[in-house]
Amino acid sequence: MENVKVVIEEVLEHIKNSRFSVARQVFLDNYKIIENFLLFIGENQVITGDELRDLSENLVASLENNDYYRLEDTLRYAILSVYNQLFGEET
Amino acid sequence: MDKKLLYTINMAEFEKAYPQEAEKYGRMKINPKFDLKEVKSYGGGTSLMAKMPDGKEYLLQGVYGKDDYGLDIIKGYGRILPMTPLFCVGLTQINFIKEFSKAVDENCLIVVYEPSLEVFDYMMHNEDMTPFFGKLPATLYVEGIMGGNFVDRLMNIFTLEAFSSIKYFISPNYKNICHDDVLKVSKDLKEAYVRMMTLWNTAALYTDVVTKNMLYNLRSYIDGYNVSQLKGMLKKKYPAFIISAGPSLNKNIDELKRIKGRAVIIAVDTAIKPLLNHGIKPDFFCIVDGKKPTELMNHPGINEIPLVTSLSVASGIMDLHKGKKFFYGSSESFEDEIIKAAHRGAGCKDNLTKQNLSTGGSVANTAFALAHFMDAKELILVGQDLALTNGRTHADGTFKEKMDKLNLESDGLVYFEVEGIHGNKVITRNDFDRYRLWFEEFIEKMHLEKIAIDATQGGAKIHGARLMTLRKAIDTYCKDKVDMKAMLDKLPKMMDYGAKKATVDFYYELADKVEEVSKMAAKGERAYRKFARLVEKEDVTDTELIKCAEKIKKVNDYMNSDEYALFVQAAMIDIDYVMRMSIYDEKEDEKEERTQIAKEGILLNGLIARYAKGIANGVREVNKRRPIKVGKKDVVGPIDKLIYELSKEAE
Repeated sequence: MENVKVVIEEVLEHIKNSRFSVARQVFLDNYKIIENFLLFIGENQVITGDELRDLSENLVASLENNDYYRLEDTLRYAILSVYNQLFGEET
Repeated sequence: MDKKLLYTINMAEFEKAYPQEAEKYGRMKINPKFDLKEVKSYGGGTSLMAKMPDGKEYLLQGVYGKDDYGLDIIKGYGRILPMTPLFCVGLTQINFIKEFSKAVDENCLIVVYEPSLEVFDYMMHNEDMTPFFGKLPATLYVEGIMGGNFVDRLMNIFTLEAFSSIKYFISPNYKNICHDDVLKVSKDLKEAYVRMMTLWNTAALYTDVVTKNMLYNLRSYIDGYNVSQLKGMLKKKYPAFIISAGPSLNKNIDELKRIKGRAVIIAVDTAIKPLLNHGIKPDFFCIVDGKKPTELMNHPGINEIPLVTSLSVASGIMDLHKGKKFFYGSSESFEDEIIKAAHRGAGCKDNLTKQNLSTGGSVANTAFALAHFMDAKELILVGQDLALTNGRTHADGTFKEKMDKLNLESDGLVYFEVEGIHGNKVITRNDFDRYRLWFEEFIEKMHLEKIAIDATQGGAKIHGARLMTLRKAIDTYCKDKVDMKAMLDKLPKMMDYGAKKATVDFYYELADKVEEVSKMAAKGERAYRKFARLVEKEDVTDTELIKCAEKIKKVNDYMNSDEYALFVQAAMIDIDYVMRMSIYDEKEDEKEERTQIAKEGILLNGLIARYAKGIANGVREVNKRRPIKVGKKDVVGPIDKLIYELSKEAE
């Protein structure tokens, strides 16, 4: 599970530095890790089915439209936020 | 809140803050370049998304972090200083703008540039926009609604200091939905900054270089002589040899030893070392700008040769020479102020004038003009090649012991042929040719054809000057002995004790007085900025305008009458050209005219404030390193003694 945080933070770092194509590649290379985490939180009803569907749609749409703000918004304020609530933020 | 009510409230505030623009917006029919749609925001409410004609969709506000995004940006800035200005592209991140305004001082500057009419229209119908119409310290600029030159506006809003610490934020996806506008505004911001820096650097350059030189040289000036004291000294009885350091000097320099005190020798700066090394002692040597390296004049014998120079020459040169100095007038108004101050305390004012010497840009031109000023019987040029003789620009012993031949193809200068003294063709370049033309015009204008002689024996032909070998010139014209040193020893210094004391007093008061000018100008700049803001408000009251105008008048009256304010502004005449950057397109109406007045007032007062501050700092720095003292050692003669005793009593 720790891997998903590492992957998301790496993608966010690339977006922050406007390295969009790198961010995209890292995301695509590690999509399975993120997908597994989404399945995990869906199965454990951490979020509702509708919310899970919205998350996935936002991820897909962000890649289709090269909308890296949308990707950042979804990764940081949705997925990473849930992760931190579940496993606590590092201090 | 009901959307109709929200829009009504927004419009009411918009009309108060920007009445003309609100009226224009109210009449507008917007042709959208993209569609805006609302998506669910997990923080509550909706977020904005843009759908482009090609089908692409871009999120403009976060679905999951609509409010948090702005806070995280602020956190990412780290410590924000109270006066940090913000330039924000896009209205969509309202929370970010509000949070930023909380972190800074209420008087800080926030400019929000909205390139999209679609977004602005949406925000007016769906968001509380009232903070932008008075509550926030923000200036709103909406493309298509607000007019005027944006670069000028930025220069009116931001100070140079603000530019150096500005936070520049582009709202998410604006580069995708308004690419060209975002690119343009980035360039406008950069242009405004560059223009402000140019103005600043120009003022700083003048303050730093010229003012520092004059301040450093003042100690030499108050102890020096005036070139006016040399007027007519030669009474058309003695010839003058003007020695330049052209390559032809190599072949006839030793001939000059035959003069043996039967003429006056005036050398240019670059010729002094070769002459002294050959045992030839000139009566004067001239420097025009002192940009040449001091090594050219680094010779132990130099102190025995009186220097003819100006106050603005590089101080390194002035310090190197410890002997007599004769000053001709510089173009700097600072010298006028020094002379005025000297007059106030002088017992004898005969030599307290600004005497200019004609110049064509080269020191040899000035030396020739000096010889004419002194009423020399003949004016004999030596070493005045004004061409590349044997591929060289100067004689041996000037820049190097043995001068190298130039590679004309590689030094990047333009060379061309002119007529040589033998009717042949010689190679020259633009600056040499300019100097040659000056000689020809001066000879013609002053009717010197009978007494101007070119004894260079090489180089370009100077029309109007008779050709002669140096040997023949010496044999023909050097008859009677002239004791230049004895004549100069009889001359009193330019300033007596009273003049020196008054000048030094003026010098020490200068920093504080000019600092006051700087403060007043800063007040003026602030008043004009307020005026510029008032002009934007069409319904501004007469009272507000009058109050602001009174403050401006107070500053202007001061600038037009205070002695030190006038001095600072007169010294800025040389940088008048940068003020012309502010003279721009025609004014269409009274509002444009007022905007123009405000803009020029901001520019001018800003320049005065910075320039005056630079002078004040320069004076203090020089005072600290090299204080000037006038005392008993400067007392010469009975009048000086009287003034000295009286001033002691007064203290």
